[in-house]
Amino acid sequence: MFLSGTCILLLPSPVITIVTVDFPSLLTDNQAMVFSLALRFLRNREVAEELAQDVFLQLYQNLGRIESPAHGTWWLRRTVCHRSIDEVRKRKLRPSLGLESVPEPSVDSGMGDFFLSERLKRMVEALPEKAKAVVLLRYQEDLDPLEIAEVLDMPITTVKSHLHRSLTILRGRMKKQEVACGV
Amino acid sequence: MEFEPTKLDQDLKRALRREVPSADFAARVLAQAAALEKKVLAERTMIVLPVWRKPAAWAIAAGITLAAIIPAGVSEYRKSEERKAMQAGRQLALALNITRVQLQKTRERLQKASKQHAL
Repeated sequence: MFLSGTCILLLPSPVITIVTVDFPSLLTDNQAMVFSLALRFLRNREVAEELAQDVFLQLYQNLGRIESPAHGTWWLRRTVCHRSIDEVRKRKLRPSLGLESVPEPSVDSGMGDFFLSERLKRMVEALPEKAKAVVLLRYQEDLDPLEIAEVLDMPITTVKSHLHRSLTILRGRMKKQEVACGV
Repeated sequence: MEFEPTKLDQDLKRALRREVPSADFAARVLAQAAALEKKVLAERTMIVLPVWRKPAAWAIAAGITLAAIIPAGVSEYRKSEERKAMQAGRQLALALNITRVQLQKTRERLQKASKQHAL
């Protein structure tokens, strides 16, 4: 079928495993991840969907090289990060937040949590691109520093440094806002 | 209120939860992938088109034809010119022959007349 690719993995044991990489499954399983990463960088749902679509089409064209669903997820994460950083540099986006990017508050969460989340989101979006990518991969994708280093092609020490500096900045800004609000 | 790293970690995880794209996103991507596949197939089909449906083949054929026609034309023109020259040569030879015969007859008449005059 045209929407899938097959790969034969030769394992150390005499067992030969055939892994089928199915494009529709990869799309369904990873669409939220790809879209969310693009959205955090581009801060516009339409533009983020466009970029996410491009990334999936790029995956479709390279499906023959994808060895497994996990490899597909890794490839998508890496591609969307690099493409988003390039896109932001091309567009020279300034840290600003459009109303369309603010989701409706969920019913079960309190308003305090909602505003805190929105403030944090805004602060993360205002970070420099590389630092933002590190924070997003750490907290949105729950990756450890070694995995982040592989995805972003940077030394692990740089990842840790970005993470540490970003958290210090975020903590400082949160404190500053609380003081300003008189909390 | 102090922001401990663990509290900030939790808040960040909550703030940066994944968001879902519009409901028709996957359908749109699949449609585009199908269109892409169709385009690739069409391009592959173009490669196996019969020779007479390729513009490049027509250009090559025209080039070969011209390359064959031009030297043949030049050769034919040269032969025609040679034929004309031969014909002109033959006509000149005939004219010279007629002149020679006329001169011969005139000389004979003159010789005859001078003999009669001497007698």
